[in-house]
Amino acid sequence: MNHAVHIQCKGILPGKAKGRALVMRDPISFQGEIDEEGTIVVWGHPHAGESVAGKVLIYPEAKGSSGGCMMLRLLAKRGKKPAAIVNTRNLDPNLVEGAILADVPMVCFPKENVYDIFSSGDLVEVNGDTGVLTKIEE
Amino acid sequence: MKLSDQEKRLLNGEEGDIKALAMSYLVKLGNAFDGEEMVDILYAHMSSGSALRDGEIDYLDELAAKGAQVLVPTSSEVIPVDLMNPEVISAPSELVAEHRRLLSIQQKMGIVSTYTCVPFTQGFVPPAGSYIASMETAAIIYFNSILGAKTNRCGYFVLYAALTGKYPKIGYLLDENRKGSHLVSVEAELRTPTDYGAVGFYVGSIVGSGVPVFKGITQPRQEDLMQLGAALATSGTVAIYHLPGITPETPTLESAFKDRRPPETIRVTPKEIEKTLAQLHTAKSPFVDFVFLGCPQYTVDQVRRVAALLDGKKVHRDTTLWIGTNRMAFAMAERMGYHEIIRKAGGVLVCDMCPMLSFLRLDALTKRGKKGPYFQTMLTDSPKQAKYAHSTMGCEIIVDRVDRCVEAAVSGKWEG
Repeated sequence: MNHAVHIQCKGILPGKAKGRALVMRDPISFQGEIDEEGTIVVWGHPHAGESVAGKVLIYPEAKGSSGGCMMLRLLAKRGKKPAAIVNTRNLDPNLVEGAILADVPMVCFPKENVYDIFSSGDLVEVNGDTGVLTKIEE
Repeated sequence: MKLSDQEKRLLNGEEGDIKALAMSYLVKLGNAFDGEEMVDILYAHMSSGSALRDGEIDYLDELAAKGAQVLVPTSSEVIPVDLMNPEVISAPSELVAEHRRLLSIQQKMGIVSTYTCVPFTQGFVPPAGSYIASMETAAIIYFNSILGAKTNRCGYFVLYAALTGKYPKIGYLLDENRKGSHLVSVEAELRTPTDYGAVGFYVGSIVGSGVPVFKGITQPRQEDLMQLGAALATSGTVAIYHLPGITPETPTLESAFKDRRPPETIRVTPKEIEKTLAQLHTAKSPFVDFVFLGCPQYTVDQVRRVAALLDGKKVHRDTTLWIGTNRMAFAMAERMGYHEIIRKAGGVLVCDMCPMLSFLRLDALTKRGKKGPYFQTMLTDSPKQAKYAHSTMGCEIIVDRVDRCVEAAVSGKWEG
């Protein structure tokens, strides 16, 4: 029996990826808030110390320094990039640049409130071509 | 995306593989944003590439070896070391060597090695209404809001824009995305750039990627606006704000919102300013081993002011004082004797680099087998530097106005 939940988003960058969700309620900056190992280094951040590597990041939008795209590119080179990125509120060209260089699928603007549906640790699939975000029941 | 015949030729490789590659990235970006067309840009401010991030300099080297040349005036961003006086700041020699190599690569490609976050203080002043491609959020927001040039929050793709002279017409290049979204009423006297920085930091944390419109700010100086913008783009993702009467496209408050009504007024009083500075304060001890001024890089007049405050004094033996600036301001500070005063007092006028992007980062230290943090407590007049230095350099933070910073550099202790 298939209990998967499908949510339609806008497809931004093509590609399919699966990974554990990392759901963040606040914007994050790849430059200065995530280090070269992909670890969140903002002091006091609810997910401080956790890694973005291999995760499907679900968060409102990028923020902060425009060096963020270079950091994402570097994470890809080091094998520490996120599996996919879901932005719910806004789409930042800088982050999209980084995702293009890092070859990370991206969707945005989900049609439902994903913060009610997804929790960190859920197994999630992102299809950047169709824009479908899927929660896979285990 | 609709491409002109010339753009198609670029994409098809008729003008070489490098331009074709660059164009293909720009088209991907344009498509991600449902962009309809490309525009010609007339200026680019690009990332220099950092030896702290593997492969970036090599990548530029490969492009330069294949004859890559920028097609528009192009300035470049700060690097992790000061190439003029690396020994004064104990910069690692291998990093210096890599960045000397980068400088020669940039020369080949036609890129000006400004190593600055504020290129508009050094002759790169695009006219209002022009399309440009800039990285560095402190520069982006100044270009959009004060000069009226139009740029997105670009990053690495500025390189591709500079190589082709093109950028997709998306985001903040479209007038509908430049409309005001929040009204901010400043009900406080802003005496120093740091006060402006605190306002920006407070407002940015509320508006996120919005477009704040300010009232109550009168006769700001260039340095004030540099600080306001840098902070807005640190706590938030603000790429443009409106100062009616100053922002070129915004003669009046009403025109900032066009047909849109502002949802609510954000009030900024002295209370919010002090609260913001206090929130950035993490240090438990008043003793400061590092005082950093110059984020964004100080203008020559700010350097002059620090020299006046330092004249005849000595920086405390347990404290390091750096004043960050750029080569053009440095040359003038040298000519005017400001540098000599600062040097005699034991301060260092630093060019090219920025602490939070430098060899002083925790990840850079770890790579060299060193334990951080390099400095325990940083006192700075910049909310932006404070926010990023805390996480990237691991130092405890105090933010205060420039005169208090200089006093603390001399006494070794911040008098809170």
